Amino acid sequence: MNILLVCSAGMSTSLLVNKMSDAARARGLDARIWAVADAKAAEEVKQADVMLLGPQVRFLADKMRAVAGDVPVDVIDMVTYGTMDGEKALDQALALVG
Amino acid sequence: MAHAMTGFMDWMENRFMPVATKIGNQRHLVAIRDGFISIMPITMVGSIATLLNVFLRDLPTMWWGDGNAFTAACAPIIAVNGVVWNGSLAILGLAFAFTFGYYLSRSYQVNAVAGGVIALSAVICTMNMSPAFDYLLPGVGADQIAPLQAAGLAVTATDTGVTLAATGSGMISTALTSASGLFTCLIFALLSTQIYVWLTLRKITIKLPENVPPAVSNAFAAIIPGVAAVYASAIVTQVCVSATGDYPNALISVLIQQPLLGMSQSPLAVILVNFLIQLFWFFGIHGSNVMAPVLEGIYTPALLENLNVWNTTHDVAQMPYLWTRGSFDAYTMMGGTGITLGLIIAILLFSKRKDSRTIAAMSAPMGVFNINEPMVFGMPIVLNPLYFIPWVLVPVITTVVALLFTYSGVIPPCFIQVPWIMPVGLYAFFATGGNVLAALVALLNLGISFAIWTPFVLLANRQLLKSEPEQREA
Repeated sequence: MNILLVCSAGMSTSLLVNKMSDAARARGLDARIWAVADAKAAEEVKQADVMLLGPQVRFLADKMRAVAGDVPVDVIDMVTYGTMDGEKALDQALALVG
Repeated sequence: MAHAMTGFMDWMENRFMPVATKIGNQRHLVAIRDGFISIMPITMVGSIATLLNVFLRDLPTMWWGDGNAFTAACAPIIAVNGVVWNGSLAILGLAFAFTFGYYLSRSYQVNAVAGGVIALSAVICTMNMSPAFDYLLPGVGADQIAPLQAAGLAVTATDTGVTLAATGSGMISTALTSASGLFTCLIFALLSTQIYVWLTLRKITIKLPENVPPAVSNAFAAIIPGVAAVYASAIVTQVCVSATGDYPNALISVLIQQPLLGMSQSPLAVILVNFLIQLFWFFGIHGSNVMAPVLEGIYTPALLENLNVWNTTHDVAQMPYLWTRGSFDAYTMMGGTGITLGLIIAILLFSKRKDSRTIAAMSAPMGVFNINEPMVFGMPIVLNPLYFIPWVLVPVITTVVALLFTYSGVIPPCFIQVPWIMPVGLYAFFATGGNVLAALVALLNLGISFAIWTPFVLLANRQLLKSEPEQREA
């Protein structure tokens, strides 16, 4: 399970990466979760099963869907993001993959 | 009332999102932004070299006078820093031409490295390789001017000695390849990359049989578009030289670069840019990301030009631009946009709300390094009428404060590039080449932000008290 998070510089989402990784580990899930800046998303998405955008770059959602191809793309819920809720963000990613 | 407010917010968001989307998807603006961001390694190394020489040479010279023992002992390191400048700030325009051409080509999904190389070549075509300059005649005194002039030599006396007006050949002036030539690099990289992309996409290329390896056929595919792009640049340059006697940069610098950067320096423009960043963020949209074409395309060149002037004159008073890219981070975005570091302190001191305190405590370590998304989305500040006023007010007022101190000459303009995660005070200190007063202005602005945020934190306390009965009912 490869989850790519995208924001402007990849800095603030990197904290959410830690929280999501903790949540995944607690559930015994084998997940690779990482964060990049939006400029790098097109390359990195090739290794991802799902892409989540930080809400602050949600205006890039259509563009990211275009570069992501078959990989599902969604915007992280604002409250989930603001409270850095790794469990909920992980749920969102898992729901997208189905 | 609450319903009307929500309606208004929805209405505003529906107006704002398309603007942000449009800018975020405009490939030329995005390529300019990414082009500038990717030359960061060399602008950063040049900034470090400059900063080191400030601490090894410029400040000690100011404190202990010319030829002090400390600076003399550091001479080898100072020399190395000078060499670093040659390879970084002196040629950043060339590096930008490549990265811009690269990203623009990539956005069209054509061979990006070829696009970058073609842009670089096209940009160099516009450069005068026989620059005129003043050659300092060694060992010639002012008294020898008359006979030299009588012999037909163009000599003049200057502060440093007698100089001869000379024309070189086979050399490019760093005035063209450094920050002062940036807009020429940008315009010709844009022109040539666009031609290259246009011809490539229309398949006006040399086609090879299917069984030729892709690397070979890619190289051939770039030939016709590349030739056309570089020739276009060369022809425009030659026409420009024939018609005006000047190379393109002389015209672009006077007609485009200086007016554009000059406009960015009006206090109104600076306040407007700050205000727009805040407004975008209020709708949860990354304001600095949306405004990056202006921040990176106009205020970054202004900073780099200042840095250039510093390296030639070592005099902050001669810097042409008072408000640069670094000024935003140094004085109006500590702890993140809206100076939320002030809000975090206000909450930790005065808030009675458990939710706010939890978010503030979690955000504090990030806030020190100017990351504030948890505050923006967690409080939340986004679409929260309670926080709208301070959110917009803080950057505007702190901008005015920093502008007053800078424009009056109390603190120097920002001219050193510093990573944006540098904590409050330290950023301003390094960005101004080690100015302690600048750091104090940053701290003053943090205090102002704290003072503006505090009443609204108290207001939030009251709101909680009011809403409690409702919560009990539910």
